[in-house]
Amino acid sequence: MDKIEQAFQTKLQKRPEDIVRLIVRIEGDIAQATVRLTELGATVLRSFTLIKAVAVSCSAQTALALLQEPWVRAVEEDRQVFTQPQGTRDSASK
Amino acid sequence: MSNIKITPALAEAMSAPGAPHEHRVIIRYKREVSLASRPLAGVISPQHFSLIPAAAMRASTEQIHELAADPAVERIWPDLPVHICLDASVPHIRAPQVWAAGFTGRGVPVAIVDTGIDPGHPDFAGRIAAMQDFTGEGARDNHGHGTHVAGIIAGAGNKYKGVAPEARIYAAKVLHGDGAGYMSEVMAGLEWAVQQNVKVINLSLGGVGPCDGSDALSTTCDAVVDRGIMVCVAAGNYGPGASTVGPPGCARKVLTVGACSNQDAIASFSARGPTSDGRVKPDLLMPGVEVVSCRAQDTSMGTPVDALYTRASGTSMATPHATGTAALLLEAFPALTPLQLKERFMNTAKDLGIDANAQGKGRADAYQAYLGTPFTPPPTPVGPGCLVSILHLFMPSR
Repeated sequence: MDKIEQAFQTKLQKRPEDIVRLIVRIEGDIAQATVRLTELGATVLRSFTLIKAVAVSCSAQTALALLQEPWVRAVEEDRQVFTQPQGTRDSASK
Repeated sequence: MSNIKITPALAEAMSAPGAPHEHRVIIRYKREVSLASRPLAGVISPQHFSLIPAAAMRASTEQIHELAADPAVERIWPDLPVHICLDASVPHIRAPQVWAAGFTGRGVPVAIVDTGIDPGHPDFAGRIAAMQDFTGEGARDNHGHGTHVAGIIAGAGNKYKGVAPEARIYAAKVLHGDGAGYMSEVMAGLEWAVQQNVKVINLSLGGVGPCDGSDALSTTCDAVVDRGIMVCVAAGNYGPGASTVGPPGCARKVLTVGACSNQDAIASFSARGPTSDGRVKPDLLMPGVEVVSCRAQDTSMGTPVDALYTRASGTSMATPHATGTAALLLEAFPALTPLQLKERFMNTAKDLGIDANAQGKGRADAYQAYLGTPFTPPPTPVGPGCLVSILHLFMPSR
């Protein structure tokens, strides 16, 4: 399995200075991975227990560098999700 | 011959798993019979009506069969609890029949991972066990969506009633006031819900498809199911094109819910399968068109009906019908695993005769899922248990 989707990798390569939100899937110890992520310049937002993963914010350049780390299983965009009422999402709050 | 006088709904209730020995029934007699002259076979608290030749009473299964054998008796109905139900959708999936069997989701812990909840809404009074914010905005619902969803699952109002009106509510706020959030926030809400030991989780949210179920959020949902928790997920509103189910609706182990009308017509917006790795999705449909449910204070999501209720459509509204039904089933059959529950939902759904990647197994039905037998058409067009069904008492008997 690839560590990253090709389309996302291309997006990161095009704009290396952009700040992106990622979910990084980890092999091994999550605490050690969190330390290493911080050393690499990422801000750790959350870590998870149901799956071995952390949510981070970092530059696109750092995101690409993570792919070289052997303890990184996968890097994916922390994508937005939305409520699913039909046609009312933007008119919700007063 | 006498058994045809007992309505199918009553016959089902009498033979259902764990059915009580005593039943509340309404007996209709032939017009020429003087009610006072009829022996009532030891039944309890008979009450005669004057508008129609009928009497309401409590009777044992044996007494009901004796009454059915009486030539003066025309018809025997179950005397079901009467409510004004949440829109028309709750009676459409026959949740009131499950209530009549004694199951209202009482005490079943259900998590709504959404835009939060309005804790001051009277329809949730005394049943919100915990609220947690993952957005930084505070746990209160400043959008309206989460409160509407919670009302469909567990609203207990006098005016509108949800599918499982006695369920216990846990609300995680993972979506912001604009209705959007990040996958990682939803994952954090799921972890919190697992820590609360809930039995069912509702996710009326999603991203844009297609997807294959390997993304972090879908993988987390499957991990939650592996912990023994049922997860109901919206298919999304990106239909009617093919492969429009988005994450986490493409997760393998969740129950993915599309939307149909109360007339069992699929909603055009309901997202379609297959997933990008070729699996059929959604798993089934539930009503999700023009559903009236709870309105959060100071919000205007949907089309407000009054200060406390608003009307909305979407797979967001269909999904909580499944979540509420899961709560009913888990009260009735606490040992069911999430995968057994999912199978039960799917094996008892009403096949609408359309493409599997539009309807899954069909429109789910709470009462049929409770019975655990393949779907058969209900005896009346509108499910008994709601006020409108009383009308059938005044119509000529069959």
